[in-house]
Amino acid sequence: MVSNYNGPIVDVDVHHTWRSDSDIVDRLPQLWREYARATGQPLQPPSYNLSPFTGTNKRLDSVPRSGGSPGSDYDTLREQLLDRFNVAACVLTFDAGGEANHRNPYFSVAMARAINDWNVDTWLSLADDRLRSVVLLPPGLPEEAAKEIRRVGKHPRIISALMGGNPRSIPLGDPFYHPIYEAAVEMDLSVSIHVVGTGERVEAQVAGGIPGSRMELLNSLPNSGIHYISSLIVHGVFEKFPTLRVLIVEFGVAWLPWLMWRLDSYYAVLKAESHWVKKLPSDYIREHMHLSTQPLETSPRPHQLIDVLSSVAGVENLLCFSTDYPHWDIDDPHFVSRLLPKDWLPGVFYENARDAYGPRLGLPPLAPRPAIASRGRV
Amino acid sequence: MRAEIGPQSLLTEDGVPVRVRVAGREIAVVQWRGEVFAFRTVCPHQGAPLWAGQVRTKIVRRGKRVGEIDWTDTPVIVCPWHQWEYDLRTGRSAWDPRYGIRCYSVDLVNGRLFVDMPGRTRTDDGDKPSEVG
Repeated sequence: MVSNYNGPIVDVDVHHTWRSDSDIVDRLPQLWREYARATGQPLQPPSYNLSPFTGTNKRLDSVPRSGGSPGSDYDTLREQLLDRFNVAACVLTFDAGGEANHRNPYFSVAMARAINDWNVDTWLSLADDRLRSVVLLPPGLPEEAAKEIRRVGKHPRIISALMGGNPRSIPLGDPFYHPIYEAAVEMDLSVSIHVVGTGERVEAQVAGGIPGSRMELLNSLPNSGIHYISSLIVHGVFEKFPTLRVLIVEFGVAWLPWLMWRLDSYYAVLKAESHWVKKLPSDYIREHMHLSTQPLETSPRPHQLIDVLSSVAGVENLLCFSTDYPHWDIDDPHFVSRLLPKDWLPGVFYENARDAYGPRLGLPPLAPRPAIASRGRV
Repeated sequence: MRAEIGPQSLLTEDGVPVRVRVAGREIAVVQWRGEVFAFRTVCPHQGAPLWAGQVRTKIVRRGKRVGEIDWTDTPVIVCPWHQWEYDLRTGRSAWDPRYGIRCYSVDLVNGRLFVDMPGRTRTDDGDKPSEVG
C-alpha cells in the first residue's frame, strides 16, 4: 500500500494482554486469588456483548500461530506491526485499561497491581527498545491509583498512567480524581484516558440509553471523551496541575473543533461559575492535551475531514498516530498517511508523541521541520 | 492464462480461505456450499489480508418495512479487519461501488483445481503453485 510518510512512527495505542488467566491470578494476594477462582470472576469486566459479526473485536489475522489471544504474543506483534512499519516506539495499553474497572474497587486495586507486575516482568523485560507501556490504574480508588503510579511509574519504559474508563461515573475533572493527577505530575508521567465503552466498564456514554447494537455503541463513544475534556478544563485541573499532560485515546478526533468552538463560545458567560479557569478552554486543550488518531473519521471526500480539523489553529500539533492494533478497526499507517496533509505527517506520526509523553518517551527529535502555516483560527 | 492451483483436498473446511501462490501472485481459494472461488488477497480499503477473512452470505434489504432483511445465496468475503464485504462472484464491494477486488473463475478437473487469470502469462511464474503460510 502506497504511503506518503516513510519516517519513524510512534504508535500510542497498541493493545496487549496475557496468554493465560493464571498469569495474572497467580500474582494476586491469596484472598483475591481465591475470590477470583471461587466466583469465576472474569478478569475483564463483562461487556454488553455487542461484538461485531465476526464474534471478536480483534483482527481475525491477529490470533497468534502459537496459540493464545490476539495481543498476547510478542512475535506476532513484531511481525504484524513493529517490523512491518518503521515503528520507533509503540505504547502497550493493555486491552484498553478496563481490566481494573471491576465493580469491587478493592479487587480492582489488586488486579491493577498484579497486572502491572506481570507487564514489567514479561513485556517490558523483552530486549526490544521499541516497547513502552503505561501504569494500569484502578480509577475507582484514586488514592490507591496514585500509589500505583508512584510504585510502577519509576520503570524507564513506563511513560504514562492509564485510566481505562470511569467506573464511578464521576466526571474526570472532579477533585475525586486529583490524587491521580498529582501523582502523575510528580512522576513526570502523562495521563492517558482510553475509551472503554462497554458494560460494567461504566462510562458516561450510556447517556441517552444503553446501546443495543455495535453501531450505536461505536458512535456513542465520543460522548464520554467530550465530557472528560470539558470536565478537566471546567474544574481547573490544568490550573491546579500546570504541567499535567493528558492524552485522549480512541475517542475519535473530528468532533474536536466543535467542542473547542462550543467551550469557547460559552466561556464568556459561564466563567463566573468556574472563575479559576483563566484561559480560553481551547487554549488549555492546545497546551495540555493530545488526541490519538484512531479511529480516524473518513469523510465522503478526503478534504472535508481536513477542512473540519483545520478550522482549529494548530490542530496538526494535537494529533498522535495510533493503530489500535490488534483491534478490528485498526488504522494502517499508510492509509492514514494518505488521508492527512503531508506537512502534518512528521508531527502526527512522531513529534507530537514526544510532546504528549515528554522526556519519558526517550526518543530524539526529528530533523528540524519547516514551519507549518496556520490554517485558521477557532 | 490458466494455471493449476493444486488438489481439491487443499480446501479442508467450507468457508475458510486457503492462501496459495499461483503464477507469481498470491491468491486465496475458498470452497463454499459446493462452489469454489478465488480472489486477490489484499483489501483495497487498508491493505488487510483477505485470506484471513470469513465467508458469509450477503445480506440485502428486502421490502419497505424496518427490519425486513434477508440473506441471499451470494457469498461475500468479509475482511478480517474492518469487515468490508466483497461479492465473491463479481468482486464488487457490497457497500461502496468505488471499491472491489479481483476474482478469478475456478475449475475442478479430476480432483484438481485450475484458475483462469486473465492478463497473467507464463513469464509471471515466479514459482510453482504452492500453499502460502
